[in-house]
Amino acid sequence: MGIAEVADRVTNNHNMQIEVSLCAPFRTPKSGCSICADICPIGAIRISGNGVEIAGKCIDCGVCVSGCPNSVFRMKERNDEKIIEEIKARGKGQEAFRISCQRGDARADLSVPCLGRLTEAMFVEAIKTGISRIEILQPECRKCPNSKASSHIEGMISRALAIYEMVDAEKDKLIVKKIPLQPLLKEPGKSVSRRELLSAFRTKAVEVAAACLSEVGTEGEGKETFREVINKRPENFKRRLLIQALEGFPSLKEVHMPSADAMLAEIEVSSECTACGVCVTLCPTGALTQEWEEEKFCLSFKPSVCTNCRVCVEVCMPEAIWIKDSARLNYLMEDREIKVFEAKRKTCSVCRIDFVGAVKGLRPFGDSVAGADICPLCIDRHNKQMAIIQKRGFMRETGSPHDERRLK
Amino acid sequence: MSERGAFIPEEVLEASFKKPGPKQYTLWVDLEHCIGCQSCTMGCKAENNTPVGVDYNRVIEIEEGEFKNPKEKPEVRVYFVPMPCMHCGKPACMAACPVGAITKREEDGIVLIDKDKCIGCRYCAWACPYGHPQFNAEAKVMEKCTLCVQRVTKGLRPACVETCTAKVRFFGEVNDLTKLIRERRAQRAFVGPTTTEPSVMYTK
Amino acid sequence: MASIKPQNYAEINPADAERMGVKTGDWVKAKSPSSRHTPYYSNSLGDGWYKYQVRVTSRIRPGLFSICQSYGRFGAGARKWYTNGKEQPHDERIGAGFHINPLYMTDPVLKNIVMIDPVGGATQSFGTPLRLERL
Repeated sequence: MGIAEVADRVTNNHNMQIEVSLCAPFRTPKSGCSICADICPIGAIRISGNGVEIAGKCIDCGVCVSGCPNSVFRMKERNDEKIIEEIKARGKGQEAFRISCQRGDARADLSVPCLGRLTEAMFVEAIKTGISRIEILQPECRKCPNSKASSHIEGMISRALAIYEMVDAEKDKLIVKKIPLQPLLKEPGKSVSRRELLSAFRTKAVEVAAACLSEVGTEGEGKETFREVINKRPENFKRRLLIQALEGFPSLKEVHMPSADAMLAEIEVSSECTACGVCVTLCPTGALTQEWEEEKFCLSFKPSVCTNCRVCVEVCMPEAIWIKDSARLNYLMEDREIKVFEAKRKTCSVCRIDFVGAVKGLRPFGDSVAGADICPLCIDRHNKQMAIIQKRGFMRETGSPHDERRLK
Repeated sequence: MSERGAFIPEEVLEASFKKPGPKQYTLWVDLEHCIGCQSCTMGCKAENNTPVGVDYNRVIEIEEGEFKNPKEKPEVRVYFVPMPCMHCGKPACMAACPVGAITKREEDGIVLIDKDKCIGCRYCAWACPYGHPQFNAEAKVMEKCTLCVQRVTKGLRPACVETCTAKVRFFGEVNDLTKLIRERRAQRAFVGPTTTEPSVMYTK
Repeated sequence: MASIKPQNYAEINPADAERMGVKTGDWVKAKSPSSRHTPYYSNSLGDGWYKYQVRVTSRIRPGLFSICQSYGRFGAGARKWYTNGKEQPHDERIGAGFHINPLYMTDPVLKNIVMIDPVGGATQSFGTPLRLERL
């Protein structure tokens, strides 16, 4: 880590940690996910070829922590577990539990920097404390400089309501109250001695330097390859907290949500699947797993781990995998693996890799190899070679109009 | 794949196409005099240490005509077409790679696979119109012709050009080679599809 | 080299191929006047017949059977072998292809030596008559 990066960390965001191996655009540039960059109130998040990074003055609002479905962002201070503890502590035996933001009601039971900081798990833990209702005191988000997070807040509330339906809580358990936008509270003026001021700086600087230097020490150990990073599969802690929150309920109703808004997905796989394993390798949370057994290939899916990030759909080249229109929220608690694709295992006599089934539209070459298993890629390569030879394209005098331009 | 086979949609190909860099280094192969000795394949293998089954350069043999009656004069012609990576202007392999392991260098237009990123899924081989990238079974990654980038950056010519016995392979910047072709009055031949703008030039 | 040509094949002219009804990739068996069955050649069919895979090409004159030698090895690391009881590395790809040594014609008088080209001193192969049948 160069000195510029250290300085950047020191001044900006030592509170935020990024677990990049969970980030969809890091794993594949074909992912269109840009949730974090879209909802960051100050636009401090940048998505690039190296994944995601905080490239600006982070204000520690934590909206990205809630926004990212895969828990890429982690906060050290006042993380999700701490907020849930606060909810459990303050919610006991209360009539109404009020939640607001920095620009809303400062005397609310739970005050977060921005309402976008809330997660589904927090909503579920709140009603488990036995309170009658939750009131979200929401100011006019659009007038706030943090307005970029407002669409995320709407989505979060609709998901929370769907979960409440699933756990059979009454609809009016969650109320959103509109309140006027308050100015940011300032600390009342306090006179401070010079010694106190400088020692406060020193403590802060030492704290931050210690945090950064602990990472610098590991630099010389050899960088991990991309493959090693994507195989790490760190924990999706937000999903763990949500599942823990839902465990308290005896039975769950079957509730469907349109898959565009849901926090998980139900996938289906067609016979076009070539068992290439790319979806398994690139799934950030490991919801898809594959098994090459003696006679067959199996692709399995674990719904409770899926976060609807769409990486599998975006990378599949044969377009054999897709997401159903709606998702059952009960699948959050579905721990078993569902078999989504199974096919007979064959071994290619040319390149010796394992493959599955016959692929429509690819003709095997020559009758002399009838009966021999040849993988689609070897067939395709042979067909391309034959096309070059037989089409006599190679003896053409001129090529396409494009070639004409280049020749000039 | 479905009936259409693996193809890269035009918009994806266009999207992956960056602004062309200052130079494009490439090869010029004269098919008229290639004798199919495979020295280029062997030289490439020795230089790049590829395992059995992986050849960065393959020489395709094309036979034309038939000879059945020994009393008649045979009208058979055999062509040899060496096919390395075409280092396309719009590489389909780059557009197809799900992890972005394939890049086209700005300074010399060479298309390279980053072996640390490659997950060995073979999508690049599906997408390549010439079927060029090959799977290295030991390292479990895809490999392809690098135009001997390790030699080119030192100012040397690629191994296949050095070892060619008939001296039919030439290496240089694409505009320089085009001028040379015109001076020699050689006739351009086109091997395979040109949708991806292959850089390697053939003449007959 | 195994990358370029992993196995050898018998090249025959399309006219002969049509007569016998074979295409590229089919199997034929060949016998020369002096060939006998040798058990350790994997392509031996017994009684002096040896099987080969065919490639039909116009580069060969009708009536000729052409095949690359030096393939189909069973020594030289193609099979498992041991030194002092310890197994040594072997690669079965070295043994790919078909053995042609048994087809060389032996000297009809001396019987234990192949015909030798009088000028060069090498094994004479071009004049060996063969019987070829489709398998």
